[in-house]
Amino acid sequence: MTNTTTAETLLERWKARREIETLMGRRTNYILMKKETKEWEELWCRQASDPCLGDNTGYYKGYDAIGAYFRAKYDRDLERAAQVQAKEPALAGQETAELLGVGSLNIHALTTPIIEIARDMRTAKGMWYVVGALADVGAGGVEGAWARGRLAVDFVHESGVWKIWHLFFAVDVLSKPGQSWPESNIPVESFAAMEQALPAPSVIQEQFVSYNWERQLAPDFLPVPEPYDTFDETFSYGV
Amino acid sequence: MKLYTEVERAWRVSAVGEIKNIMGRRSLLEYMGCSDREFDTLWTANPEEAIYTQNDLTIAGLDNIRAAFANRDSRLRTGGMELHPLTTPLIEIAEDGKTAQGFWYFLGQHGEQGQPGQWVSGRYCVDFRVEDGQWKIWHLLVGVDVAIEAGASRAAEDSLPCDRLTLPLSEADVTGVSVTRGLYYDTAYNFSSYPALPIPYASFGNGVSNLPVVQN
Repeated sequence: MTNTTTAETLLERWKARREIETLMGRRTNYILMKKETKEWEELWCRQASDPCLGDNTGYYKGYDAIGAYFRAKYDRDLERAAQVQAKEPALAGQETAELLGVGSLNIHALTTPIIEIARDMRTAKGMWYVVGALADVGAGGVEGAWARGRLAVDFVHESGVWKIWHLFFAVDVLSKPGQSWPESNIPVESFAAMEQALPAPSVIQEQFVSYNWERQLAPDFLPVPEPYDTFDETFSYGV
Repeated sequence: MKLYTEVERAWRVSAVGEIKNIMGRRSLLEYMGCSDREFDTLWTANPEEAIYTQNDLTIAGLDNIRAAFANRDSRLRTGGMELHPLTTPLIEIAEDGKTAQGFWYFLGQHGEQGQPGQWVSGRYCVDFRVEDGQWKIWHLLVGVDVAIEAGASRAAEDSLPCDRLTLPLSEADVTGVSVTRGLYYDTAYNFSSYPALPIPYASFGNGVSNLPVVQN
């Protein structure tokens, strides 16, 4: 058995991996339960500089921009829940804020984990492939979609707890069930059952394009995490 | 059952994470059309011992495997898609810590320029070994169970028959490459006992691998 590392170090690193897996599992379940404000409040960093949340449409950069995004999302979900509640007698009289998950089913199941903890244990990088199914209630009824894409995340260890620092969801497939996805991919920004728009991303630069027959995949965009010593010597999933 | 020291126990726990990282890296490098990096960094440094197998063929030797996947990279980078998201890991580390075996189930998608998208799913069966302190892929089998056009029914009569499954390597990819033909993974009797599931084992020896062993 080839090994020169102490048991304590190995277990510390294993524990970090488990904490990051749990953090991301918690995030997935918050999305499923429409409790994304808890994602922002509990799972994101509060001290590191320039946190980033991105997807194919661009990036929300900084605490103010990300916070505004989550607040707008909450408002949108609340309005959607109120609309569903108005149509469903069984929900009458209940607190609308407790019904955010009604009528939606946003599953972002995480597969294919790659988790690299920096040797200095201050940061970590992770990549997952999301196998997802989305459903939401809009003006025209329930809309559903299959979703597939890479989730690339930088983590930072703050006050003894792992937190999300930069997160990018690179959507490959967002298509309606019953259709072939190369021809029917939905623009990421338009899968919003509600017409009320979210704030525009604060940074729009290099954009990731959903799968289509003409797509040229750039291997240098969102590289796969590799072992590293400190964050200074590796790449960032933020901007 | 073997008793391990504290360091050995910690090392074995860490090994599971490292093996998951290797397979995750492999899936995403494949998706990016970067097979060179996959073979340079993740596979055994003893090229004559590497074996790749899919339903209908097996390729012995890393140079041969590399040649077949290089043919495929360019079409993946332009309008292609081969993505095998890995779920359901089953990983056994040998008692001697020199080898490991793993199974995964993948729920993936396949795209080809001008063709309808396909949902594909199947199994990965992999032997690993430690080389210079690093886990490396040694033998790898990808067995495709289902490849079906997105939007089509999953009823049996609408599924692609075995001989028309979309497999990772096409006939064009293996043109000029030394391969051995055979039925190495059979979807006609899905979830049969082959390949055998990994079970705890002491050390790698004859009969331990659950994958076809062929000579270059």
